[in-house]
Amino acid sequence: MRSKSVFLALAALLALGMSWSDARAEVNWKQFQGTEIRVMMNKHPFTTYIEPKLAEFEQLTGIKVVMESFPEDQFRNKRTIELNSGGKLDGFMIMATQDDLYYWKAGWLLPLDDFVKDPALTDASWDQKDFFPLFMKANTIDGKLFGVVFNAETSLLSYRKDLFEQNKIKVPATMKEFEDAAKFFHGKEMDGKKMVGVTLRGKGAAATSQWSDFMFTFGGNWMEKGKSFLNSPQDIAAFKFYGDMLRNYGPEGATMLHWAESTQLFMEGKAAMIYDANVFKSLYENPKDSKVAGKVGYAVIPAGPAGSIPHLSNWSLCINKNAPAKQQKATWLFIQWATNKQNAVKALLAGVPAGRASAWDSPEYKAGDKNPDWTASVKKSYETGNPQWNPPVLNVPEIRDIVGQVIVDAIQGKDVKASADKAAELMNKKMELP
Amino acid sequence: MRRIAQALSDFIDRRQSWVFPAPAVIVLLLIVVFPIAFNLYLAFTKWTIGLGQPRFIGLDNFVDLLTDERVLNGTVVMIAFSGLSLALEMGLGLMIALYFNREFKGSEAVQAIYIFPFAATPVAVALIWRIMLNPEVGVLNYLLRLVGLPGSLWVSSEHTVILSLVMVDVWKWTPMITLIVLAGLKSLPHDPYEAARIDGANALQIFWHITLPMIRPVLIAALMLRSLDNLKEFDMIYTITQGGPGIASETLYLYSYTVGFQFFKAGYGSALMVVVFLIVLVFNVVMNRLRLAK
Amino acid sequence: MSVAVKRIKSVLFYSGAVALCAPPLFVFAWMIMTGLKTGSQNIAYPPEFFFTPTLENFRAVFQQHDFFHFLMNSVIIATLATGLSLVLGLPAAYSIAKYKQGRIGLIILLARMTPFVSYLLPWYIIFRSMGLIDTYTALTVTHLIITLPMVTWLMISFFESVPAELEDAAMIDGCTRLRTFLTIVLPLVRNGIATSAIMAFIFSWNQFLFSLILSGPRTKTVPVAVYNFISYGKIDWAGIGAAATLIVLPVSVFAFFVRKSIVQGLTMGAMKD
Repeated sequence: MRSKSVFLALAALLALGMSWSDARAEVNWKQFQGTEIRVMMNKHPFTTYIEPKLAEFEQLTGIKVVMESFPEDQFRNKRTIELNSGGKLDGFMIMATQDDLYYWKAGWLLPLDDFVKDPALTDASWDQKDFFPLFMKANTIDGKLFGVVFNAETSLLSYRKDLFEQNKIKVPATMKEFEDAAKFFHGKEMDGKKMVGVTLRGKGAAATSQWSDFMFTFGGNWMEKGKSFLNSPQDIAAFKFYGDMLRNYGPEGATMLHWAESTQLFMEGKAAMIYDANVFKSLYENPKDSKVAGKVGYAVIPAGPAGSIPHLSNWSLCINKNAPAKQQKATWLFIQWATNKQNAVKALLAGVPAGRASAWDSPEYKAGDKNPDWTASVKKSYETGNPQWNPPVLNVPEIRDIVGQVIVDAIQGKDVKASADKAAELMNKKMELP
Repeated sequence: MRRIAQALSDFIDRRQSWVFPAPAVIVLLLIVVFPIAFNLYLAFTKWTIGLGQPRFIGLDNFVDLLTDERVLNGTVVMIAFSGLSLALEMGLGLMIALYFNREFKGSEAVQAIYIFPFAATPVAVALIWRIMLNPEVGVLNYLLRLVGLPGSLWVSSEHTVILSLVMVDVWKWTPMITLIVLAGLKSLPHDPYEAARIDGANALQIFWHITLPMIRPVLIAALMLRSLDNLKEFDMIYTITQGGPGIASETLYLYSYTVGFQFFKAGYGSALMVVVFLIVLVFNVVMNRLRLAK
Repeated sequence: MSVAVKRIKSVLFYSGAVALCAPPLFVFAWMIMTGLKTGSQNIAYPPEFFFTPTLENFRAVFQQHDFFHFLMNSVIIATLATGLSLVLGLPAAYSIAKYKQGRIGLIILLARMTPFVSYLLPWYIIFRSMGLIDTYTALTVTHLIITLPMVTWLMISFFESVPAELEDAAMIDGCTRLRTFLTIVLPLVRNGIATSAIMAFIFSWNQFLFSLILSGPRTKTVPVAVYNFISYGKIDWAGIGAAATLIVLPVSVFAFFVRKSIVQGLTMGAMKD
C-alpha cells in the first residue's frame, strides 16, 4: 500500500509539478462522515484558537465535534469521573507527566501507534517526525504513544524591557542578578505605580510547576534512589530562594497568587518581572487586556549552581480507550487535523508554542514573529529543559500538595529545613510508585 | 372507571396520613439511598477512582483520620469558621431585626436593599468578592488606604483568611436570619410588654427578660436552618480561596472534596464525608433538644 | 421627649439604614461596574470609579459564550425542580402538619444534611448507566434534594395555620379528603405556596456542585457557566462581572417580593412546639 502511494505521489509530482506534501495520497477524510465525537478541553489558548475553526474540520470530514471546555480544576475532575464511569467521551486534553501514569494504569488512554502506522487513517502530511522527539517521548509510556502534543510548554523569565533599558539594568543571567534586579525595582515608583520586583506563583500546589525550574537549576530533584529528595540541600536552597524572592521582592499576599493573580499584576504594569509559562505571552501581548503589550522582553531562567534548567511540560490530545472503535478512529482524524502543520503555525502565531519543528521554522511564522527573543528563549529551553516537571509517582496531585506546603512556608519565612523534612517524610509515606 | 376512582378516593380518605407524604419520601429515598449506601461502603475501602475495584479495609480509613494533620486542621478551621460566622450572623441578625421591628419611614426600602445578597448566586458573588479582596489591586484595600488606614491581606494571609471569609458569609447570610427573627418578633404577644412597662422596666430589661426568652425558639430554628448549610459551606470557600493560603481555610468538608475529587481517593474521601455528616447530625440533634427544652 | 433627643434618635436610625444598605449596594455596584469595564480597566490600580461604560462584555457573554442557552437551561431546570417539589412536597407537608408526623419531617431533612459532595460519584454512575447524563431529568432530580425539603419545611407551618374547622365543615358537606385538600386547603395557603415556590426556584438556580458534574453542553446551567471565564493563566473579570450581573439580578429581585412571607413559614413552626 505504502510503496504504491509513494509511487503515485511521485508520479503526480512529476506530472503536475505540485509540491511534495500536497501530492501525497491523502487519507479518506470522509470515511467517518456523520459521526459525532465529544472532546473535552481545558480553557487553554489552543482551545480558543481551535474552537472557531471546527467548522473547517466538519466540512473536511463530515464529523461533528462537540467541544466542551472547563477551567483546569473542574476540567480535571470532570474528565476523571467521566472516564471512570464510562461517560460518552471520545477525546480529551491531558498534561503529560501530571495525569498520564494514573490514566494509563486506569486503562483510559488509547495507544495511538496502530493508528499512526495505518496509512488509511494517518495522512502522510501529518509527519510524525516533525514533532519534537522530547515531547513525543513525554507522551509515551511503555513504548506506546498515548497523546499528540500541541502545546510545548516551558517557563520563561518575562521582564519589562522598557524599564530595564531606562534604568540600565542587565537582563538577569544568574540567580544573583535575578535577585539584584528584583531588589532594584521593588518598591520603586514607576509610571505612577509602586512596583513589585517580581511576581511568581505562590499558591501551594499551583506554584510547584514553576518551583521545579528552580529545583533543577539549583541541582535538586524530586527523588533520589527511590526516596524523596525534598529535604536535600539543593531542594532546600531552591525552596529558600523562591520563598525569599516572593517575600522580599514580591507582591503582598504572595501565598495566594495563582497564575491569574500573578499575570494580572504583570499585565497591569505593577511588576518588573514574572516567571511563568511561555504560553502566557499571548496574554501579556494582548493590548485589550494588558497594559504592557509590546514592552516585554523574554529570557530563559537565570543560571544557578546546576546551570539554567527550566521544566518542560506539554498539553496533548488523547483518545478514550473505552470509546467505541469507530468513535476512536473519528477522534484520531480530529487530533490529526488539529495538530497538522497549518494549525501548528497559526496557533503559534496566536501564541501557542507549537510542538512541531516545522512551525517554528516556517517562513510564515518568522515573518509574523513580533517577539524574536521569546522565540529564541523558548527554543533554547527546549534544548536544556527537564521534562520531569512533576514527581514520578502515580498520585501526583497529592504529592504536589505536599511540595506546595513547603513553598507556602518558605514564602512566609518559616523554617524551611523543618518544613522540607516534614514534607519529605510525608512524601515517602504517601507516594505511590507506578 | 368511576368505581375505581371512588375506591381510590375512599382509600385516600382512610389512609391519608401516609398516602400524602409517601410520594415525597419515596422519591427522596430513591435519590439518596444508593449514594448514601455507596458512600458508606466506600468509607470502609481503599480505592483510587479508576484503579481496580474498591478493596475492603475495615476501619483503616478511620484510624488514618486520627493521625492525619489535615483532618485536625480541617476540624479547627471548620469550628473557627462556623463558630464565628454563625455567632455573628445570629447576633447581628437579631440586632438588625430589632432595628427593623420599629417601623420608620423608608423601612421597606432599606429592608429591600439589605436582603439583596441573600438570594444572590454564591459562586457569582464569591468571584466578585475575590476581585475586591485582592490585596494589591483590590478595591477594598484602595478604600482603606484612601482613608489613611493600612490595607489588609484579607484572604491572602493565614492570619486573616478565616475572618475575611466570615465577613463574606455574614454579608450574604445575616439577612436570612434577620428575616426569620423579624417575623418572630412581629408575632410576639403585646401583653407582657405592657405589664413590664407599667412595672417601670427599661428597654434593656424588657429585651433581656421578655423578648429574648420568647424569641428563643425562633432563634434556635434559624440557627439550625443556617448551620445546615454553613457547616458544609463549599461554593464560597472553594471559589475564593480553595482552602488557601496553604491549608489555612481548608474546612473538613473542603478537605473531603480535595481528597475525593482532586486526589481521587474515593475510599478515604468517603470516610471524611461520613465524619462531616456525623458532625452536622450531632449539631442538629443537640440544637433540636435545646429548641424543645423549656 | 425633647426635640434634641428625638433628632439624635432619628439621626441614629438613618445612619443605621445607611450602614445596612452600604455593603450590599457596594458589592452589587462593583459587580455591575466590573461588567461595564474593559479587561484592562478591571485590573487597573487605583481602581477606576469613573469610566466610559461599555456593553461589549454583555454582548460577548451572549455571542461568544452562548449564555442565553445556559440561562434557558437554568430556567427550565429550576422550574421543573420547583414544580415537582410542590407536587410532592405540598401533600407531604400537609400530612406532617395535620398528623404531627415529625419523624417523616426529619427523614426529609436528612437528605439535606448529607454532605452533597458524597452524592456526586454515585449519581454520576447511576445516571450514566441510565443514559441520563446531560439531561434535564438528571439535573432536575438532583435539585430535588434541595428544593423538596425546602418546600416541605416551609409549608408545614402554613398548613398548621389552617383552622381544622374549615376542613371538617367541607368533609361534612361530602367532600373527599383529596378534594378538601385541593379546593379548600390549598387556596388558603397560596401565599405560602408562592413563597416556597420562589425559594425553591432561587436555590435551584444557585446550585453549582451537582450541575458541575452532571451537566453537559446541552444542559449547563449559569452558575457553572460563570466559571467559563476562568481560563489558562487568566481570569476574564469583565466577562465574570457581566455574567454575574445577569445571573444574580433575577433571583435577587425575586427575593425582594417574597421577603415577608418567607419568614412566616419558617417561624410559625418554631413558635409552636
